[in-house]
Amino acid sequence: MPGCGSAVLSCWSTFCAWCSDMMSRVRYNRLRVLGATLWRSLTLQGSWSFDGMQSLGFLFAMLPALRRYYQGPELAAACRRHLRHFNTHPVLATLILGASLRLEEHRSQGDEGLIDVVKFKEALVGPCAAMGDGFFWGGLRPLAAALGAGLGLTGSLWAIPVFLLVYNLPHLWLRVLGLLQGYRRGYRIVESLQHWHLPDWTQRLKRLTVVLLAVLCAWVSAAVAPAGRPTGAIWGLLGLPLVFLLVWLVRRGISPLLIGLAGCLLILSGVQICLMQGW
Amino acid sequence: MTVAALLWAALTSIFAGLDRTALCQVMLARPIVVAPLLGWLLGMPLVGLQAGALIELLWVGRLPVGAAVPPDDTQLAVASTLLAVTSPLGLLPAGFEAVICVFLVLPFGRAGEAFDRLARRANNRLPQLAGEAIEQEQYARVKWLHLQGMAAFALASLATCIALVTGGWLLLHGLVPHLRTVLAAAGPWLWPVLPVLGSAVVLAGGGVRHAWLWFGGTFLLVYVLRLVF
Repeated sequence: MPGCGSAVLSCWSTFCAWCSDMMSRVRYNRLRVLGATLWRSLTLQGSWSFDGMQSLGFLFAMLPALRRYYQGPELAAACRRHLRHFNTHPVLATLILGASLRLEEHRSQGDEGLIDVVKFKEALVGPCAAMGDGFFWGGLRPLAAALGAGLGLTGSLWAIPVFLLVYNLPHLWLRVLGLLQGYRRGYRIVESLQHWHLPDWTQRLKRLTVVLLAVLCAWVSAAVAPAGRPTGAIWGLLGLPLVFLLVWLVRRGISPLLIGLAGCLLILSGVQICLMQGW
Repeated sequence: MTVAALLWAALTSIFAGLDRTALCQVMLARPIVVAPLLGWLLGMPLVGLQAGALIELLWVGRLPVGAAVPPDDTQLAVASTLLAVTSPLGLLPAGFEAVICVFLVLPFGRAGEAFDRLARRANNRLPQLAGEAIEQEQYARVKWLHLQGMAAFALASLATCIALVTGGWLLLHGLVPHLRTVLAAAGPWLWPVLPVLGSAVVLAGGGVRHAWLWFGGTFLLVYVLRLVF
């Protein structure tokens, strides 16, 4: 019977090796699919159009996964599902991509799930667009820009790495996290989205941007104020009402580009008059 | 303006134009990055940095939301840096090359929107062609159609850059020689216009409770501290 024992042991070790191999292959395949989707998600807006918006970009990102999950007519049907009109924030789109991958994976295994992937996408594009636009375009990018441009005006080349790091660390982190969380949680990703508290962060970032811009404007006003004159400091303070006047003009719907050009012409005319008068 | 400078500008324009919408969006297309980058390629990074900082601040509050196409500040940064760095010696007052070139290309800022819209309209046919490719089970063609979309954005960026550089160059050589004295005297007053205007646009955008108080209080505090120290 010792031969029987060693045979069982040998069978067991072969089975374990097979399981381990299968597990690593499945994980490897999943990682490959997720990696390809993440990589392709960087070109989500590559074929942006007024009709389909990001539809072709979304299909392009999903294609490696769909080709793994489906074959033949099922693959064509899945591709058609993801070629529908789609438009959301490009960063938070990875969240929808991850969850769609999970839903398609389940569907390919015969599990239709609680919610159809098309309806799920339609339900999530609006909130992701609103939160993403607010956080990235309205909060993070202006903050990074105010920091970078402020440093840039002082002549420091640190402006570039500071700007890129302040924007891209959260940007790339949320891209990767969105895809992984979406894939892990499927349609329950909505709960994760709520837990990130993006609208609260947007408010904080916007307030910080306003403070930074005030610092910048004060610095600019002090730099422009005539030096060496007793009234110079008072002249510099005029920067504050000037900003408020410009706010009023912008709120009246006048284009900032037009205001900028008009301001330039006004300054040139003023300087010309001063030169002619010999002041 | 040398052929090498034009080639560097064209390459930067395409590379940054792709990052702006179609590829990655890691903000390499923002004026504060792309202008010093081109300036460095042409040998004067600080001129590019100044142009980039000013344009960045002008549109700091501009949101590219949904189907709205914002002005192409990327190509404005590329064009103004190219003009500032390659302008003939002595044509522009020293120290103010960047700010004057920014104002020279600003009037053509809307050109970028037109070319961007053209690219997006050209891409309108792509989803339909992709649908046909799927019916024929030609999945590799879907990838090529997507890449065609990116090529349209690259071409739009290049066309915008060419339009801005041409317009700016004409103004630089047609207008600036007559205004050299005025520009030299007005230089110190011109550069603060854009940062102040950009701040006003952010404040006007709203979204921050008591923004006026935050802005006004910080302004006064920093101004007084700067005077004292």
